[in-house]
Amino acid sequence: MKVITEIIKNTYVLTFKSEATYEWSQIEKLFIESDNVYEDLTDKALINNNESKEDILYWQDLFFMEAAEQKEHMDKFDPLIKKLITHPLFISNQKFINHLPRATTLLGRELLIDELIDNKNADQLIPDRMIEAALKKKSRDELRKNFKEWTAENEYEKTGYTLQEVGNKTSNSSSEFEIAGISSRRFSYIKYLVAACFIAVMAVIGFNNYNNGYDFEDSQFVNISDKTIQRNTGLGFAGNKDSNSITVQIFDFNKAIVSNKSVSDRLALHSYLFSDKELKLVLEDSNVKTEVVELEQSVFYLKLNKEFFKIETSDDFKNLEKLNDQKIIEQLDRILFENE
Amino acid sequence: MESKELIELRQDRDKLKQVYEYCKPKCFAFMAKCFGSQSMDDTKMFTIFNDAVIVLFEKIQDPSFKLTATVQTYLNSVCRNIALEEFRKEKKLYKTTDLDIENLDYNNEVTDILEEITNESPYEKAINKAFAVMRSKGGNCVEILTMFWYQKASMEDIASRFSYSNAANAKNQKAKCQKRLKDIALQFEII
Repeated sequence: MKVITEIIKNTYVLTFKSEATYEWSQIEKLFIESDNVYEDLTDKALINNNESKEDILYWQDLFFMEAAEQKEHMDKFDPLIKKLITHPLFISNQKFINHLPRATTLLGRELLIDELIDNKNADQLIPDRMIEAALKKKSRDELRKNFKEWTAENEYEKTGYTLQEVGNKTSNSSSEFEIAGISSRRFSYIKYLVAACFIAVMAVIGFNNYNNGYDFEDSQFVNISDKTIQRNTGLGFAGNKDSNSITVQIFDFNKAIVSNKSVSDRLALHSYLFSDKELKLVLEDSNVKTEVVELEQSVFYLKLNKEFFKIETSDDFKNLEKLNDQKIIEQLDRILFENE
Repeated sequence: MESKELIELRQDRDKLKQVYEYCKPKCFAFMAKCFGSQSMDDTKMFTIFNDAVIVLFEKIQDPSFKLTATVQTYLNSVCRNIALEEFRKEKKLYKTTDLDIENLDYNNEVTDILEEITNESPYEKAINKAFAVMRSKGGNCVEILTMFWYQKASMEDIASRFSYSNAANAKNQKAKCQKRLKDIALQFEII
């Protein structure tokens, strides 16, 4: 009986936001056995703080809800408890309580993940590509919306020009009325032309980005350094002083792929892009020793740690192919040794 | 994993956050190796990883649950199971890019997968609609109730989270929120 008494007192305070000194054991009995709680409570003067009927019914339902939750702590053999657990309000509240764990699962999962992500790190956890795709979609959707609006305007304006009366004359003569509408047909063509140009520009930019692969300049995974091109000093190259150095950009593939899986769609591991002034490399990690050697006029080799690779200028990335010719390797090593 | 660590993981949300942040990149790398980036994009891996963390969280609520490998291995295994299930549902073929599968960090004996909540009864639908209404109106009720019923949080945890002066106050607030939820749900369904 103590559990129920605690529940009835607590739920009273919750409902009426104040404490009271009542005959709680009689009230709880009435709650369980009465068919008209409010009438019986007031008739028997068990409450005397002008509690409203609505609040009494709220209190009763809250009482049964708490009782349903704490059923395990009650004495099942107590006659009043036996009546309690068969009361319709207890049964309906118990059904409600029983469904709550499953009903809260989806929402609970969502809130759990939100908490673990803890939006401070949202820019790292939401991949850039997703944001990029969302923005592109948004701009395309807006453009489509504009198309619809322009088409609708065009349909309206096809019915004729808008006329505005000038002065007091009511004649329909066009000389006496000012034509307020503009030639919509010509304007709508211009709108479509502007949209088409916009799409063309976006397509070119997109194609260029795709064709050029990853943007090395703006990437946090690229290690940039300037290297002196090592040459065989004995041969006396005709090349000028400006061609003595080259910018080497090494893309750390392993680090990048952890952060953004789409990297592997745009860049191939162990590949390079070579021009006169610049060498871009895609390697497992950027912590590698590099040397660029010009063995003969415009014949270049790259040394990565202890291995040599022939490199050729091109517009596209090419695979690095290991040099196995021992004679050339010896020549390259000698050049490097002599230039130390 | 020792029982003590599991208990910590169950009780300390910061520990779970650390696990989340630490394991995420490795799970991504694992999935990329297992299935290849052609079969799985960032969004999919993100969703699968989050589901795997939910599986872990729900498993550790059971005191009898035992983790025989590292958390990383467990999460990798669950990610793999969820991914395979997704491929099966989508009737999609996937390409394993790493031929040496045996060296990948996962455990074949882990068969855990996210339990889908499907076939909601009208009753549950009414309760969820009520949650949506409460959420739209703001306040802490939704979080309090999900903390209590889904996360099995104690009143002390709830009091601490929402700065109530003590557990009794948290309990009272939870009772009021629950009554409110029921009253709103009544509008959607006869319960």
